[in-house]
Amino acid sequence: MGRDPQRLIASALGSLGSFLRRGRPSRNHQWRDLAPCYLSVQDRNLRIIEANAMFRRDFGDCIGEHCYRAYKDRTSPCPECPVLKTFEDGENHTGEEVVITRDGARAQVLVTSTPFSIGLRGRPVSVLEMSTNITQVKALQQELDRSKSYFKQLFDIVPCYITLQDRDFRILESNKLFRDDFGDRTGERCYHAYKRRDSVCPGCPVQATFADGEVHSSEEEVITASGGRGSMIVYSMPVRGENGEIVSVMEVSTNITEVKRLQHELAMMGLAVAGMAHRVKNIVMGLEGGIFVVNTGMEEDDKGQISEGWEMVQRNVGKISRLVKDLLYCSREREPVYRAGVAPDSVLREVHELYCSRTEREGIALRLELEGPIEPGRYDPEGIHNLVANLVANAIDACRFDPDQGKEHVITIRCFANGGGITIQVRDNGPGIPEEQAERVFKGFFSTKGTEGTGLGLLVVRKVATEHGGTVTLDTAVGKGTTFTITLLPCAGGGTAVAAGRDPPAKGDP
Amino acid sequence: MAKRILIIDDERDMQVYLSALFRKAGYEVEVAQNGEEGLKKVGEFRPDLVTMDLVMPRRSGVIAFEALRSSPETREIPVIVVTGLAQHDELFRSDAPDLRPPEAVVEKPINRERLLETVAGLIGGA
Repeated sequence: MGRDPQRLIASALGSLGSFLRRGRPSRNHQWRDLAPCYLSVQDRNLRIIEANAMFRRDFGDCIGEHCYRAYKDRTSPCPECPVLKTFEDGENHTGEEVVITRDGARAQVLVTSTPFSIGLRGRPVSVLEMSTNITQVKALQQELDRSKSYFKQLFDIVPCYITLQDRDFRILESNKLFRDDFGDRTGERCYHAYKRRDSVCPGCPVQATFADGEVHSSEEEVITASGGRGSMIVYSMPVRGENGEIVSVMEVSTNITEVKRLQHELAMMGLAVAGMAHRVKNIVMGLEGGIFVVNTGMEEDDKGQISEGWEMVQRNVGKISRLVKDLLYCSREREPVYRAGVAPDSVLREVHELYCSRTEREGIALRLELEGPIEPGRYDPEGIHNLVANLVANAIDACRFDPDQGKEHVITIRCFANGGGITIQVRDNGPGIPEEQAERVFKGFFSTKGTEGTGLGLLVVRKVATEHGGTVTLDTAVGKGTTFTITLLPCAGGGTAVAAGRDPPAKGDP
Repeated sequence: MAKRILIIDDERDMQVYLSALFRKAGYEVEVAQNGEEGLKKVGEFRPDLVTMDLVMPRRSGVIAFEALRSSPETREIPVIVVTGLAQHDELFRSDAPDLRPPEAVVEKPINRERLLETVAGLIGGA
């Protein structure tokens, strides 16, 4: 906003008053009548002594009438009357009023009063009152306020973070979403507000926009006030002054954390599908190979070869059926079957027994540590069996492929009571999982080489744990080994329930 | 006299499959279950060619390969690596930078005709 218009008008009126007082009467009338505003001279009782042509046109020839009556058809002075104030203190006063013309039209006026003639005691005897019609100005101002608040509202409801920044990356303004998530950072530098950095980010789009006036974009990782991290796509665009110079840069950041997560999931799924394709391809090769060996055996009438080939076919049919079983297990096909009175320790004993000879052949010690009393509860025994069997199979693979040849490998299945539920740990002292692979292990079809698992084992583990309201955590150190910790809670209800007793899980070579 | 091939692989499927394939093509075949056994059998069997997997328990594939390539008596024996891994090149770079790489790398699933052509290219037909 420039200079205050009210003060400008008041000072103009002051000059006009002194001009009118000094001028000759005949010339005064001419000036008064030319002035594009309502002019009146009033006495102490607010009676109109004189009025200009414009006043008379809109309010009638009302000499002798009270100002409040002429202007507003009131019977008493208006509150905050500037003319009365001038009579009191001899100063100029201003105010805004709504007046009603002879035609009944309402007009908003800016009223200014100034002493007109001064009495013997130095106090005003009459006051000049000038009212300027500001109805149009007011309408424009209201329109301006409306559009300002409209744009402010738009600025605030846009579902992105918006900041205006100067050349030093100081935040001049920000929208509501930004303030909600990052706090009021007005005056702070963008890189500190968004990232808690002490210097400008490399490849800053705002800097680029200040340099060339173009729109720039980049992807950034930011930290919110609550410490959360998110990915943003950032656009910067110039805000130009009257002469086209860049006065500030608007930076609009859209949260794409969820998009990034989905992108990551998709990439992981791609890896999983590739892994599955690879595995299926190998099984198909095993089947083809088996058929080839059988055919060769038949051509050469070699029963030994026929039988070897047939075994190969069987092995691979077994592999594909295990793969399909795990796939179905991971999908929604299989509902957990909870049974009352399931003793988790006896499920673990079965798994231990199942793998004892296998681990012995590989020179691996398989231990079972059951600590304290483990209460029977309502669990899905087949699920728990699969969960532990998968972890043990993975541990066997880990130990078999451990490059450390001198190590005496040990796999420990541990179980103890934990609140109302149980904790199961499967620990091996194999090679551990490198950090860059640790994230991928739960994603499905994660497998280096190994002949025990289907590559879906950890998905099965996670599914069973989740069904029991539990968690799976992985603790691994390269060269030292891996521990999977699973917590399980007995099921209160839901799922497919079977009253009592339980069928032992399927036995056979895992 | 038939040319001899030593198959070093820990997977039963590969042992059976490659044996049948090479035997049918007229080669004499011997099988070793792992790297250590493979090195022993190289001395006894004196193969003209070795096929092996590199990724076997306890790194025995890589160790056997390095041993084969390092010994003056065996370093000239052509080696075909049969592997399910696509990153086999890295295995050589990181583990044995100075050794001559294998004569051929065949990725699983194997193509029978191409494998036999590769073998014939290295040691001739049976």
